[in-house]
Amino acid sequence: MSVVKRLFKVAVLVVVVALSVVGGFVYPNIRECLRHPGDLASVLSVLPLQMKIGLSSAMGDEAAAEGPLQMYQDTLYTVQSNYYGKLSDGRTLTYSAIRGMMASIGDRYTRFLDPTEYAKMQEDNQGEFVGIGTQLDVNPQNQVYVVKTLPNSPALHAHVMSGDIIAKVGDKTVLGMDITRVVTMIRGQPRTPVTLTLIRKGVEKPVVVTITRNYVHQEVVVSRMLDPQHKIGYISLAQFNEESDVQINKAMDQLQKQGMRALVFDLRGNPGGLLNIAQDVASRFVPAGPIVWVKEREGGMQSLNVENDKHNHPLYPLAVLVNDGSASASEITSGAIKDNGTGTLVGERTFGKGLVQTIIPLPDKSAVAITTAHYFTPAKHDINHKGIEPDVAVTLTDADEKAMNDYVNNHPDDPIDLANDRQLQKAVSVLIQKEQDGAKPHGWS
Amino acid sequence: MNRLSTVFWPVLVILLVVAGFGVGAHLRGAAVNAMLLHRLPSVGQYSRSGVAFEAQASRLGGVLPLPGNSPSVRLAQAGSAANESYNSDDLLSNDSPMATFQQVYSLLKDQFVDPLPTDTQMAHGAASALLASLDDPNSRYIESPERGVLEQQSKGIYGGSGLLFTVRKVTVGDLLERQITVIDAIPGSPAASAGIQTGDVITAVDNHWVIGYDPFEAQTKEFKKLANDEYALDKAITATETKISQGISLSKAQEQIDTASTAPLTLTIQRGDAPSRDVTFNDNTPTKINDVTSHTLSNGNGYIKIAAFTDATAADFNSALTALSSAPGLVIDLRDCPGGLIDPAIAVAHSVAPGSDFGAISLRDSHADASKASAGFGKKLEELTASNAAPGAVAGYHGNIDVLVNKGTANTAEMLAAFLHDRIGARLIGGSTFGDGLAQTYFPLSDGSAFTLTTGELQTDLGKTFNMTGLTPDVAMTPQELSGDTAVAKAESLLSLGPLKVSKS
Repeated sequence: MSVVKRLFKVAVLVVVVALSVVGGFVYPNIRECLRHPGDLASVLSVLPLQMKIGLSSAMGDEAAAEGPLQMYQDTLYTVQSNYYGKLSDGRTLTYSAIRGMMASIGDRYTRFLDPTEYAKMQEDNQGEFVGIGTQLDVNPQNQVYVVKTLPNSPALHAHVMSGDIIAKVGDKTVLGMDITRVVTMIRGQPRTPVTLTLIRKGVEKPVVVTITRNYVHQEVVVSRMLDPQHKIGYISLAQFNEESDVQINKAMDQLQKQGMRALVFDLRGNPGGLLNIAQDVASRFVPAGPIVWVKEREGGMQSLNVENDKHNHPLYPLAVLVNDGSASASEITSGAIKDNGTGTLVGERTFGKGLVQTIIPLPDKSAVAITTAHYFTPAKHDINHKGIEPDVAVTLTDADEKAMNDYVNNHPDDPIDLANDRQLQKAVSVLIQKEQDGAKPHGWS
Repeated sequence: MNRLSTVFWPVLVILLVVAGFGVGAHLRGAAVNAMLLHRLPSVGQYSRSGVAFEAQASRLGGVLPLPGNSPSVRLAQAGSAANESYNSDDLLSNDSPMATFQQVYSLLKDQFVDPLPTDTQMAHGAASALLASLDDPNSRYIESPERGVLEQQSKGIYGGSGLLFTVRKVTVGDLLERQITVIDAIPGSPAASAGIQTGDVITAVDNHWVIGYDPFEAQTKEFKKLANDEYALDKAITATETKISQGISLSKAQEQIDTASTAPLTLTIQRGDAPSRDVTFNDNTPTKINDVTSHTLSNGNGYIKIAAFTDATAADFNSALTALSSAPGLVIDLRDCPGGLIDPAIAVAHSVAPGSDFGAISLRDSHADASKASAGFGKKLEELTASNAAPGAVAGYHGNIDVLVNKGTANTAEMLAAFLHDRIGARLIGGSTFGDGLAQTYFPLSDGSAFTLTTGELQTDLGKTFNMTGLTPDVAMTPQELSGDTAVAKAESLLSLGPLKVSKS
C-alpha cells in the first residue's frame, strides 16, 4: 500500500515538474494569446524554428520540397571533382552559394550569417560582452588608447584612465596593431586575467595592470541635464539592444531626481535593433494604443501596443532628434511619438526602413535574417523607402558636421557639443517655447 | 516530525515548479527567435574586399570574376562519385553544409514576406556565387542567351561584337586588377572593322566602368589615414559606394560583349598608354568565318590558314592538306587564331604527323590527398589522343613546315604550334604567342544555362607549359612586317632552311 502511495507521490511530482517546464516554455505564447484572443497565427508566430517546421510537415505543407538543392549539389560535386585550382572546403563553398541564393532575392536585409557573424550579432543584441570594459580608439600615431572606462567595469576598478595608450597586452607589443586584433586579445573568458602595459601621460614608466575579465555591459545611453536653467534633460540612445530600455529607465530616474521638466531624446545615427525593445522604449513616451503595426505574409495587421509598466516616469514635454541615420526601431519609436503628438521631431528625414527581419538560428550555429514583415506607424503610414519627416527641419551643413567632428575628437568623454550642434540647439528652443506655452510634465491618464 | 513533513511537501512542490518554469523558459530562450530590425553595417565601417563585391553582385544580379570566351573546350568528363548522399529526412536537424542550404531555402519559402524569385533563379544565384568564389576569371556561370552565342562559336559563327576575350589578372600599382583583354577580333566582324586588336583592354561598357578591382581595397590606405576623422571617412565611403553603383560587374560586362544584347553597345577600349576611345556597335549580325582557307603560293609551296578550331576544322584541314600533299613546303598560318575546340587541333596534328603524341593535359585528381600535393591539390596527367580523327584517309605530310604565329595565337593554336615545332621541327615565325594554356570545360545545364570551369592546363609532349609566358618564335618579325602582306612571303622564304633539330622525349 505504501509502495503504491510512494509511487503515486513520485508520479505527481514528475507531472508537476513536466508541466512546469512546458509552462516556462509556452508562457510567452500564453501572454500573446491573451493579448490577441482568438488569433492563432500570432500564437504560432512565436514558436521556435524546429517546432514550426515540424508543424508545417504535420500539416502536409509542401515547403520541404527540393528547390535549388539538387542543382546546387550537382554543380558543387562537378566543381569539387574537376576544378583545376585550389578549393576551399565544402562548408566555405556552400556558405558562398547560400549567400548567392539569398542575393538573388534582391533584399539587402535578407541575408545569411555565418557562425562568426551570428555570434557577433548576438553579442551586439545582448549589449554585453566579456572583457574589461574600456572604450578604445586609435590616435593619429596609430596607437590604440582608452577613450573611457565603462561604469562598474573591471578596468575602472583597476584604475585604467582615459587617455592611457595600450602598449602591450600580456607579453605582446600591440603598438601599431589593428584595433580589432587588440580588442580580441583583451577579451576572453570570464574570470580570467589579462595584463596590460599602459603608457600614461605625465607618468614616466609604463603602468602595468592585471585585470580580471568579466561580463561588461555596453553603454548605449548618454544622458545629462543639458540646460540646468530650464531643466531640460538629454538622453541619447545608440541602438536598441537588451541594455537600452534598462539604461534609459536609469537615466530618466536620475534626471527626474534632478528636477527635469523637459527632455531631448536623441536618436540620430541610431540604426535600430530589437523590435520588442523599441516597444519598451516607445511605451515610455506614448500613452496608449499601438506602437507599431506589423504585417507578415499571412494574416492581417497585428499591433504591438503600449506597455503600461513603462509609465513609471511622468510624460515629459519631448523633442526627438532624428536624421538619415535613424533607422528601423528608431523610426518605429519616433513614428509612434509623432503620430500620437507626444513629441516634436527635430532634424532631418529618417532612413526609411519599414521592414522587420526575423533571425533564425540553424543547427550548424549559423543563422539567417529573413524579412518577414512590413511595419507601419500607429496611423498606418508605410515609411519604407520614404522615412519620416521631422516636424521641424534643421539640416546640418558640411561645415557643421566638420566642426562637431573636431569637437568629439578633442572631447571624447563629452560628446555633446551644444555650441556647434544646431539641431540640438533647435530642440532646446522648441522645448523652451513649449514651456512658455504652458507645457509641463504630467501623469498618465 | 509531523510539522516538518507538512511543510516539506508544499515547499518541494513550489521549488520544483519554479525550477521547472525556469528550465522551460531557458529552453525557449535557447531556441530564440529574435525579431530584429537592423540596417546593414553602419557608415562607420567600410567594406573589406569581397563584401563590396557581394554587394555589387546583389545589386546587378550578376557575379564577379569571370572567364573569357575563347574556350579550349573538351566535352565534359563524368564527375567522380558523390562524397555524401543526403537523405531529405535528415536535412532539418542535420548540421552539414547541404542541410544548412536546404534549411535556408525552406525558411525563405516559409517566411519571406514578399514573393520570392523562382527556384531556378535562386539555383542560378547559388551556382554563380559558388563559381565566383573560386576567384578564377575563367570559371563562371553563363545564362541562356550567352550560352547560345558560345555554342555557336564551336561552329565558327561569332555573334555579338565579334570579340574574343579573356580576363587577365594584372598588377597595377598595389592592386591586382582583372582586365577584359581582347584575344582576337574575328575577321569581318564589327569589332575588326572598328580596328580592335589583340591586347586591347575593355574598360567600360555603355560608359559603366568595368569593376575589375575592389574600390574599397584600392582605398584602404586612404581610409586608414581618415580613421580618426569620422566625418571625412563617412564621405569617402559614400563616394566609393557611389563609384561602385556606377560600374558594371565583370560577368555582366562579358555577357554584354558576347551577346551585344543591347544594341547599340558602346565599348571603351584602352590600348597601352594611349587615351581610351569609344567604339559603338549597332549591328548584331553574327560573323561567320572560314575556319580553314588554303591556296598554293607562287613557288609552289602550300599555304593553309586556320582561323579557329571548330567542328569542321578536322575535315577541312585534312582536305586542304590532301590537296597540297605534293607541295615541297607548307606555311601554316596560325596568326590571330584564338583556339577553340581541342579535338580538332589534335586531329590536325594527326593529319600532319599520324601517330605522333600531341601532348597532355594536367587535370585535378579528385582522389588524391590534397594535403600531400605541393601546389595545394592532387594532379594527374592525361594524354591527349585524337578522338575525332578526320574522316577518310589521313593525309600525312613530309615536307618542311613553317608556322606563322603572333600575339593573337592562343590556347589550342599554341598547342598545335608547339607540337609542330617540337615534333616536326617546324620553325615558329613572327611574334610571341598569347600565353593562354588553361583548358576550360563547358557544362551545359538542363534549364538552358551553363557554366565553364577551368579544368586543366595544356602541356606539350615535351612537358612544356606556356600559360602566361606564350611561345617564343624562332624567327622574329616586327609587328609591321607581321601584319603586312610580306609576312607570308617571308615565311615561305625560310622554308629552304629545312627543319629544326627535333628533340626526342
